[in-house]
Amino acid sequence: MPTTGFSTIEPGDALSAGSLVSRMDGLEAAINDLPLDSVEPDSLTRQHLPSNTVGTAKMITLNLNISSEAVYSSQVGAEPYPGWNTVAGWKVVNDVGTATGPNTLTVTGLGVALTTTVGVEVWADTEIVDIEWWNFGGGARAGAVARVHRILGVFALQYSSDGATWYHVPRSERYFRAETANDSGTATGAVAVTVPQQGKRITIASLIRHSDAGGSITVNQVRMVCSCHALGLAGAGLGVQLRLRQANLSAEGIMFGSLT
Amino acid sequence: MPDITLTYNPTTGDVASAAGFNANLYDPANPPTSFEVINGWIDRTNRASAWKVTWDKIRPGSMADAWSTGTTANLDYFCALFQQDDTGSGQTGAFLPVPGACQSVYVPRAGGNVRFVASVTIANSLEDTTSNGTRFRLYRRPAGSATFTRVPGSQQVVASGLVTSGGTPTRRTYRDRQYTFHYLDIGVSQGEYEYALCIWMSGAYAATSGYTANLYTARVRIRNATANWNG
Repeated sequence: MPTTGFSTIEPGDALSAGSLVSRMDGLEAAINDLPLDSVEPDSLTRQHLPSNTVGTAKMITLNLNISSEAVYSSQVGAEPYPGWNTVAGWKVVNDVGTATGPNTLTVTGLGVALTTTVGVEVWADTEIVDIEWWNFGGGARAGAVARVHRILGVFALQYSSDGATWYHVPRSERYFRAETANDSGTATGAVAVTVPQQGKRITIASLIRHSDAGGSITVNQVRMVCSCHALGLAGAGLGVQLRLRQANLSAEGIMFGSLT
Repeated sequence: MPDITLTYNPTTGDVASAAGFNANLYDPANPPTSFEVINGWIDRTNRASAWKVTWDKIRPGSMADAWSTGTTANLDYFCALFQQDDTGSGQTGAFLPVPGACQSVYVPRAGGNVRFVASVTIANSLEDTTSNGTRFRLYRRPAGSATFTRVPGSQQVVASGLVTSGGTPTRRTYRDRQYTFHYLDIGVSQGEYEYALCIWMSGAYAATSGYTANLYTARVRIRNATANWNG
């Protein structure tokens, strides 16, 4: 039932310009501040609704094309996979494969204050050109080592307010296990050989919420991180090399549940 | 701005003005100064800020919408289908739309964002090199920034070289790849938008051979092409 601030003129009341104006003012105030029960279900359209986006949406792309891919490496015992839900120890996906790179897959300036009804929707994807065990003393697959069954690339999302303190999104971790086969498509024997051209694409979609590790912070930055690791690979100078191509990351703050 | 500001405000003792009262009740030439606002002019500024809009009050499709399509058909492409404009970055005019991987989006109001996600299966008999390979490219209408090239990693050339059978380059099923990428169009204006995933094959090996047996091929299946708007 619609409600207004209008009060009727009762018998005996003075009918004057002032009394009429006060009724009109009541109507004006009611229409300018419609209460909840003045709105019927399914009645609000795009004209009546506030935007459900919060802050500033951002997207970044690293155009790592053929022959200019980013190469990440991890030597045994030096830079292992940091482990489930660990913030430090990852490399930020970037255009050269170093620890930070000159250009990282990081969006900044989001300005999204997390609440119970506000989160950050994030999409990220990149392509694994190849991942293989690596002899850092002699080049790719140089020498013979015991067969390595599990060569992993791991990816995840992290977010921050100030760019200094980062929070990990554990549910965003994605694992890729290298195919190990020879050119005929059969598994190899004593010497580990990984398929040099994996061509697999990693896609992450997630929603950062105030119940995550950072709490009710203002999210300004989101980044994609990666790690590579070979379980069971041992020996000095051995490790894993991961080559990535063409990475995208987008983030936008959205309201859900109810709009303010 | 349909918050009403009445312009005629006499006080007790004033001589009533019929024109003034009429203007307060109905002034279609200038709605924010009369109760004419209730005839379809009410907008988001008329909502009292004390209450939050919940889903039951929202007309479906008014705040966000989504479209998705796909096909299980095998779409086979041959190098000879494409203009062989293999001049580095100059081949952008030779791309062809992939059936089932294009979306039209209507954005009902300005300021929202559109996310386009394409997920395709690609099987290729070309190499993964600068001069010989398959490319995907996203095009957007009206023309905008959503135009970039992606190289799907599905090449069939392995360490021992090109895989052939009877002289014909072959695809290997275990190298079929699922290829997914996305694009976020930010702060779009009101109107119609089209997102078209296009394909191009460089095919230097078969540049002028036409439809012969030894053509390099790419087989594409569209898992889905999805676009969603919110704003």
